[in-house]
Amino acid sequence: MIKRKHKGMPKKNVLVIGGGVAGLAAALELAEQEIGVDLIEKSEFLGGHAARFSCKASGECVKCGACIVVEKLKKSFLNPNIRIHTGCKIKKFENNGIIKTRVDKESSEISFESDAAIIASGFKPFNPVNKPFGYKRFNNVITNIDLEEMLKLEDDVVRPSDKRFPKSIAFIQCVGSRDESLNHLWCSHVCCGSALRVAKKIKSIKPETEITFFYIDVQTFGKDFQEFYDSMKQEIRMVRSIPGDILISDNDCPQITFFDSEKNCSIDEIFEMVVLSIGLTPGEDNKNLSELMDIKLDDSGFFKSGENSSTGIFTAGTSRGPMSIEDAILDGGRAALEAIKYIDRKDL
Amino acid sequence: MALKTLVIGNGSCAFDIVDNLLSKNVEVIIATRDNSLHQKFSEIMGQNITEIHTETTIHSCTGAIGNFTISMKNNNKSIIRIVDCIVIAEDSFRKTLFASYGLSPSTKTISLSDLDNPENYKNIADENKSFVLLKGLKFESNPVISKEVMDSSIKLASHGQSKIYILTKNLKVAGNRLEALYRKAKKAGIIFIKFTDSEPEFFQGEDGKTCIEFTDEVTKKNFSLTPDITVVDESIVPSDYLETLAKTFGLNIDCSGFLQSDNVHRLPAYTNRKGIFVAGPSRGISSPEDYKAEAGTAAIAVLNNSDKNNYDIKDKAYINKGGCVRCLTCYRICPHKTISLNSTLSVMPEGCEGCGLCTAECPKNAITIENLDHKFLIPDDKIQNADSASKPRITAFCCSRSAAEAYKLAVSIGLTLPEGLKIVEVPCAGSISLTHILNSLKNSTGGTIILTCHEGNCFSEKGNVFAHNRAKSVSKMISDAGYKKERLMTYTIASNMGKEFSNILNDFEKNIIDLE
Amino acid sequence: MTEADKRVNLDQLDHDSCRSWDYSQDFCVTCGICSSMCPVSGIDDFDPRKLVRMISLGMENEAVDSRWPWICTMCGKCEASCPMEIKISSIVRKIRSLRERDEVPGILHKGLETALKTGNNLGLPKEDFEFILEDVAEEIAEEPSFENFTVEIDKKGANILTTIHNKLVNTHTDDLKHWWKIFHAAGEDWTVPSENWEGTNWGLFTGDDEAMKKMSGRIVDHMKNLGAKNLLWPE
Ligand SMILES: Cc1cc2nc3c(=O)[nH]c(=O)nc-3n(C[C@H](O)[C@H](O)[C@H](O)COP(=O)(O)OP(=O)(O)OC[C@H]3O[C@@H](n4cnc5c(N)ncnc54)[C@H](O)[C@@H]3O)c2cc1C
Ligand code: SF4
Ligand code: SF4
Ligand code: SF4
Ligand code: SF4
Ligand code: SF4
Ligand code: SF4
Repeated sequence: MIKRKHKGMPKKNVLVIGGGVAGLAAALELAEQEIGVDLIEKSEFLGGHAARFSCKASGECVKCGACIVVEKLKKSFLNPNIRIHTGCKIKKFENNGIIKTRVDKESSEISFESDAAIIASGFKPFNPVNKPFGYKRFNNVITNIDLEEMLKLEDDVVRPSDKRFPKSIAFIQCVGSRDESLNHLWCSHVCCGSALRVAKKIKSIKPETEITFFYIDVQTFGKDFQEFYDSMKQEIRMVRSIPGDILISDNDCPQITFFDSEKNCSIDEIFEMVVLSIGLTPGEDNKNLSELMDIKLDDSGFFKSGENSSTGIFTAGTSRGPMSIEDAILDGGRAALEAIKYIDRKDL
Repeated sequence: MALKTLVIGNGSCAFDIVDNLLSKNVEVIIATRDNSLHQKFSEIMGQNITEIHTETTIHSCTGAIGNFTISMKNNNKSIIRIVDCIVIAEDSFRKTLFASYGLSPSTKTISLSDLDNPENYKNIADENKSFVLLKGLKFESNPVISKEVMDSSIKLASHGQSKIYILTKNLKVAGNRLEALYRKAKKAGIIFIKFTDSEPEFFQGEDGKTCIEFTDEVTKKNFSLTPDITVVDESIVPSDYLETLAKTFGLNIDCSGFLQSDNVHRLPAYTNRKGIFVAGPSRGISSPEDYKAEAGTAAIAVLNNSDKNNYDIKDKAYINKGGCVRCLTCYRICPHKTISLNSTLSVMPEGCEGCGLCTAECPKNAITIENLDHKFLIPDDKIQNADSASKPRITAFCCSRSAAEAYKLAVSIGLTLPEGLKIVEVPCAGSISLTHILNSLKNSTGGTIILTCHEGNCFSEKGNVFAHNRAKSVSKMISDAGYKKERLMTYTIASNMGKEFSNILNDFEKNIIDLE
Repeated sequence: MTEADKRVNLDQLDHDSCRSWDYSQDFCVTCGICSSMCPVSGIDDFDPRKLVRMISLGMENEAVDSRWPWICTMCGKCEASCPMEIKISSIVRKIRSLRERDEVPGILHKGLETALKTGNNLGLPKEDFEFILEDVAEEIAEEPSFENFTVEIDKKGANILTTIHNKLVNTHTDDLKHWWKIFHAAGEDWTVPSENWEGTNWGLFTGDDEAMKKMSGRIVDHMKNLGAKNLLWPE
C-alpha cells in the first residue's frame, strides 16, 4: 500500500540530470517507489568523479566511500524503473507543470515528459595551471585526481617522468579553494581527507617514503578523525604554510620554496613528486542549466541550497556545493523525497 | 494495512522524520524518555494516526522487519506494540570542556551553550567588553561547533563589542558556507589566533576570570589576554540512551558511541538490522541542515525497505531442527540479529541477509542456505581458457560485494587474468567454511585464494575476519601435514579495484608455478 | 627583562588606528604563501605574513619601530599570490610612512632627498648625464648596421618617452645599449628627458606620499611639455 500502485493511474516520471553518486542515489530511491526515472548523463559512463577514485584501504577500510559507487551502479542497471541515457546533451527544457525535455544523443533526438526534475550535475575539479605550482609544465607535479586515477588504474604510485616509486612526496592543500582572489570563498571539504588517506596508504605500501603535507587548517573527516590525525602526525611531516614557487631541479624533481615557521626562514627543498590538492568548483554546465531551467545559482556559482519546490525542480549533490560522497548520497535521497512529496501534492 | 513505524526521539530530526512519514500515510508511534514532546510536534498533533508515548523507554524487541514486537515501559505500565519498522533519532548531548582546559565554570568563564541561551545572552553582551572564545584547542573540533562559535562572535560584535578573539587549532571550515562565515567574522573585527603544536596556558583568578598566556606562532610574540568573558567550546557526544537502545535492538555502535558501525554499507540510514534505521544526531555529528537531509533519507528508507515478503526463501538460512544441539553459536554470531531463540532456534527469514556466517560456523552443519550450497557445488564456469590443463587451476573465492565486482571490472577493461582461474562468488566471505577451503585445496591442481572486503568494509561486519581466521587455521593444518601453505592465500580488496585484482591473481599464479 | 615583562597585553592594544587601514589585512587566513614567495623572508626574522599579522593584531607601533618594513624590496610577489587579496606592499609602505622622516633608513632617506633636490638620486648634473648618453650612442654607432644611430634628448612629439634607471647611467651602461638597439631596429621614434629622468620613485620606497606625487608629477610634466605619445617607464 505504501508503494505506488498504478491501477488506472498513469506512472509518474522524474528526470534526473547527471549520473554521479548523487544522481544515482536519487534515481534509485525514486525507482524503489515505482517512479520511472530518466537518468541523463552527458558522458559515456555513469558514476561521475567518484567512479575514477581508488580505494584507499591498506588492509583496513578508511571509509573514503569510493567503492559505494560500484554498488549504486549495479543496482541502477538492474532496476527496470531506471532508464539510462548516456552521451546526452539537453537541448530544450520546458516546464508547464509537466516538464518536457529534449536531448541530443549522438545524431538522434529523444524527448521525455516528467513530473519533476532533479539536477545532479556535479562539480568541476579546479584547474591549477595558472597557479605557480608548475602543473602541466613539470612532469612530476600532479593533482590529487591524477594520483587517484594512477592508484586505481595502475595499482601503484609512480613518478610520471620515470615510472619509479617516489622517495619523497609533498602534498599542497587548498589549491583553488579558500581563495578570494579566484572568488572561491569555500573550503572543498574533501581534499584534506583525501590527501591524508592516500598518504596513509602510501606509507603502508612503502613506509620509508617521506611525506610532507603543506596546509592551512586540517579539516575533520571520518568518525575516528582524532585518532587518525594523531597517528598521521607521527607518520608524516606537517607544515602549516602553503609553498611559493616551484622550480625543477635535477632528475625532474620539483624544488619547493616554503616558509618554515619554526626555523623562521624560507627553505628550498627537493621532492621527488608533488601532489596538488585541487578543490571542487561549480560544474561547467551550471550557468547553462540555470538559465535553461530557471533555477538560481548562488554567488559562488553553485546551485542555491533552497529548494524550488513550487516548480518541481530540485538540486542534489555537489551541484549545490562541495560535499563528500557520503553527503552526496544523503543529498540525493533527500532530493528524491522532496520530488516525491511534490508529485503527491500536485496529485491532490 | 498501513505501514506502522516506531520513531524513538524527540528533537527536530525526529520531528522531520515523523512529518515525512505522515505525509506518506505511514502510521507513526513516537516514543520518548522525555516527559513532554518538543514544541515542534504541536504542528502535527491533530493528525490522529500518531500515537505518542512520553516518559517511555524501550524494554525489549523481538521479531524482524514487518513484524517487530516492541515492549515499552511507561512508569510501571507496560505497552506492547507491533510495528513494521523502527527509526532511532535521539538527540545528541553537549559536553562542556572546562575540565580539559583546567578551568571551572563561573560568571566570567562560561560554556558555549550558555552564550547561546537567549536569557543569558543579553546580560552577557550588554555588560561585557572583551571576549575570548576557545575552540578545538584540546580536542579536534568540528564544523558544527566552528559555526556556532563564529555565529556567536559575530552576534557579539554586532553589539559594538570590539575585542573578540577566537583561539583555535585547526579552524574547521568544511561546512556549508563556513569559509564565507569566517571571512564575515574577520570583517566584523574578530581576531583569530591559530595554534598548531603549542597551546595557550590558562589561569583562573578568584573572580572567575580567565587569563590566557600564549606565544603567537606567526609573530612569535608573547601575549596575554584577560577578557571579561571566556567562552569554552563543547564537544558533541551521543545520547546516553543509545547504549541501551543498541543492546535492546542488537545494533552496532561506532568508535565514538553513535549507533551503527562506521561502515560505508550502512549509509545513509541503515543499520546491521533490516527494518531498523538510525538518523541524524543518533548517527553522528552533522549540521542541522544535514540532519534534515538525514531525516529525509531515513523516511525514504522506511518507505523503500518495508516490503518484507519480497524475497526468495532459497537465499535465506534455515536451521534443521534435528541437527541442532542448541550450542547458540549461530545466535551469537548472526551479524543481522535475525535468529530467534524460543523453544527451538529459528531464522527469521525477513531479516536474514543470507550472509552464511551461521552456516559456515555451525559445528553440527545444521544450517543451510539452499542457493549458497548450490554456489559452492557448481562454481562459476567462467574459466578464462577452455584449455586450462597447461596452467595451474586456481580457485578464487570472491565476496560478491567486493572481489567479485573487482573481477568483473578487470574482465570488462580487458586485463589479463590466470588462464586456469575459477571464480566462486559467495554472498559474503564469512560463508566460506573450513570444509569449503579443504575441498577446494583437494580439487585444485594449483591453489586456492580467498578475496574478501577490507576490514571494516564487510556488509556482515566480521564475515571477512571469520574467513581470514579460517584460512589461517587451514594454512596451519596443511603445513603441519607437509603441504605447501603458499597454495592457500587470502587478500582483501575493494569492488572498484580491477587492476589490483588482476595483479593479485597474476602474482598468485606466478608463485604457484614457481612452486611446481 | 624577563619573558613575562615582554608579554604584550593583547586586549589593551589600540586597534583602532590600523583597523581603519583599507588593505584587507584582517582577512589573512595565515596560509603563508606570501612568506614562501617573498625573496627576503627570513632576513632578520622578517616575513610578510608576520607583518600582516602584527597589523591585524594591533601592533602598529612595534611594526613602525621595527626594521622589517625596510627589509622588503617592494617586489610585490607576496601580494600577487595572496589568496585573500591583501595589499601587502601597501601595508609595508603605510608602515614606512609612519616613521619620522629623519628616521627613515639612511640610504633611502638620502636617496629621496637627493632625488627631490637634483632630479635623480645620484645627484648627477644635467651635462654629465647628457655626456654619458651621447657617449653610449657613439659606442653603438661604431657597431655594424647601427652606423647612423643617435640619441635625441628632449625631442618633441616623439612616439615614446622613456625614463632611466640610475644604474643604467652608472654601473650598467651596457644594458642601456640593449634597449636602444631594439628601438633602432624597430625604427622607433623615441626620446629621453635631460632632467628629472629617473624612473625609480623614491617616495614609493620610503612610504612618503608627498614625495611620490612630486616624482610622478615630473614625469607627467615631461609628457605634457615634450608632447610624447607613449610613456615607457621600465621600473
Ligand atoms: C580529488 C578529489 C578527491 C575526492 N576524494 C573523496 C573521498 O575520498 N571521499 C569522498 O567522500 N569524496 C571525495 N571527493 C568528492 C567526491 O568526488 C564527490 O562528493 C562526488 O563525486 C559527488 O558526486 P556528484 O554526483 O555530486 O557529482 P559528480 O561526481 O561530478 O557527477 C556528476 C555527473 O553529472 C554529469 N553531468 C554534468 N553536467 C551534466 C549535464 N548538463 N547533463 C547531463 N549530465 C551532466 C557528469 O558527467 C557526472 O557524471 C573527492 C573529490 C576530489 C576532487
Ligand atoms: S570505503 Fe574506500 S577505503 Fe573502504 S573499502 Fe571502500 S574504497 Fe576502500
Ligand atoms: S578540505 Fe582541506 S585542503 Fe580542501 S579546501 Fe578545505 S582546508 Fe583546504
Ligand atoms: S550453531 Fe548450529 S548447532 Fe549451534 S545453535 Fe546454531 S544451528 Fe544449532
Ligand atoms: S545467513 Fe547471515 S543473516 Fe542469515 S541467519 Fe545466518 S548469519 Fe544471520
Ligand atoms: S598570503 Fe595573504 S592570506 Fe596568506 S598569510 Fe600572506 S597575507 Fe595572509
Ligand atoms: S613585496 Fe616585500 S614582502 Fe612582498 S614579497 Fe616582495 S620583498 Fe617580500
